[in-house]
Amino acid sequence: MSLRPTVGRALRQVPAPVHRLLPSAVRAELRVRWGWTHPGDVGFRSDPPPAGPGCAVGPPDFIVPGVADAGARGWFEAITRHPEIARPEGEAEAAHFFADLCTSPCDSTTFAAFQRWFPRRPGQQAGHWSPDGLAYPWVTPLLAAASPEARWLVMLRDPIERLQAGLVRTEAERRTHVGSYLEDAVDRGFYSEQLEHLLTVIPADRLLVAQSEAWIRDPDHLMAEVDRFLELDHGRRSPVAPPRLPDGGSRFVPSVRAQLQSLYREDVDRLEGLVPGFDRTLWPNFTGSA
Amino acid sequence: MRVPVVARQAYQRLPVTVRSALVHAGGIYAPWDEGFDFTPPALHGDEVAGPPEFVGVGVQKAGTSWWYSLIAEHPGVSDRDDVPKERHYLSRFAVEPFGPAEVARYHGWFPRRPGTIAGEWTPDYLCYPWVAPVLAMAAPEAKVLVLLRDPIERFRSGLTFRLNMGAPETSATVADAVHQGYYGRSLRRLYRHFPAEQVLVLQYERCRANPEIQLAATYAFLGLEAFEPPELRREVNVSRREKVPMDPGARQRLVDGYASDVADLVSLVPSIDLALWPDFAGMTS
Repeated sequence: MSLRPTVGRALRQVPAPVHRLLPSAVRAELRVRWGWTHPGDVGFRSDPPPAGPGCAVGPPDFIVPGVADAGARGWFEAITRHPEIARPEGEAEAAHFFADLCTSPCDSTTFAAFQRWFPRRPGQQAGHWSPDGLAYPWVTPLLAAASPEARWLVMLRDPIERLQAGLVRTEAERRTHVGSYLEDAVDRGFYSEQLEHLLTVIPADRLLVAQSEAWIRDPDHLMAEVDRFLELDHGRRSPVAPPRLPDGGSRFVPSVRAQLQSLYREDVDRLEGLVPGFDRTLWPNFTGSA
Repeated sequence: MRVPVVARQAYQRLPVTVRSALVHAGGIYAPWDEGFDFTPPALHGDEVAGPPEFVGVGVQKAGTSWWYSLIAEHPGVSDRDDVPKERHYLSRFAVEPFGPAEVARYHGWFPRRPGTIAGEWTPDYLCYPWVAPVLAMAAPEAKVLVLLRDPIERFRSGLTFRLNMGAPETSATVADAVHQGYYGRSLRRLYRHFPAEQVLVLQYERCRANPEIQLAATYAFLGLEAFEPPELRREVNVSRREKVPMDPGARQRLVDGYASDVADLVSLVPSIDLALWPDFAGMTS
């Protein structure tokens, strides 16, 4: 029996910052020989848990591809609390499956390995949470190719509030190359660009876009819409509590908020033409005139 | 203070992350680091400071250090050795206030002798969406320079560079390198704040093939008289390291991913010669 998976799994318990302090040659050796990587690292691979008795594997039936700090993971978990959906296992390890394959081969073998993460009993659907599925441009088409029939559910949040929450979450990463750090945080709020890219690889009728603010206001209404979209029996769903979104506080002074409104306004304007039912009044940062 | 050779060699053998931690502990920061002191440099002699006459905004790993050095060599341009080519001053204003005090401080970074012009070239600016509006506030008359390179080769060089600089081997680092290649999207944002006639878009491959003509066009764009630097084909900041390997299928996926943006770029800048970017040359037909 190979020791590699066991050793790799044990090494992954060591915090990523400790790993990153090691010389790059040592890291490379540990990565290649023992698989000491973390989800999202280049070279990360992990085996899915064994499928239970009577379960079949296959591509996910639905995908929740972010966006980060908009409550997407909580939404994914809420969606999967339905008897017609298989309880996901190891979704945090599967989440970044295609994220490190930008420069690597990716073929039917890769897709088969991806599909092993989605066991389900007969009559059940399986879902995939992918925090990079919209933000990393090479991930979107790979996900679509690996899951050709999947429905996609995208959760958006006022981009300025999302940015505040994201900056709080990732504060520790700001130390070096401030511009690149900020670029990633800011870019994730250009939703129209990301949705337009997604719509080049899936048809519009397989996309449902929701707003986190609507989810907070009326969780059951949104979950009924989700169940219709996924063809689930809404009557079998237990009531869902309103979500708690990542909190960014009120760190932006008015002048910064004005700069960001100006930066995002054109993209938000485009959302109105792109997302049926998009409710701009839920985003007070963008309800006034320019 | 002279540092012994042995100590310098030992320092160079340390991982980049450790070297960064050591210099930061000593209070030394690069302009792109959190903690850099943006107090403008003191003026020398009869120098004055003011808004830059030119700002290069892109792109990383496309020969910008080489091209800036050729511009800086012109007698009509002021360029001090103690002021970095890449100011990075505007890189942090995504979420910080930018008003008259910040504008004045930025101007302080452009000392120039009477009768000369001054500028900078921060290659990351083009892909930072907040930079064009703040640059338009700080230097609305500045001539803007953009030096582009085949997006695939730029990606490979950029990723190799970032990893060698100690960036973590994560998909976020890869994503940063990919995002910098969406030239069409970035130029569209730039053109909202600077008219096309105020922007000169150059191609690295064309500059390499015919630097005399491209440099003459650059000088003319900047309002400088004709000048011939003694050595055009110098190598500045050239990486000797092997680029990250790329699977052929992955390369094609990246080409496909960039294709619509490259088409957009050509619609914005018809002078772009796609024959110089072999992965996209077929798009010309």
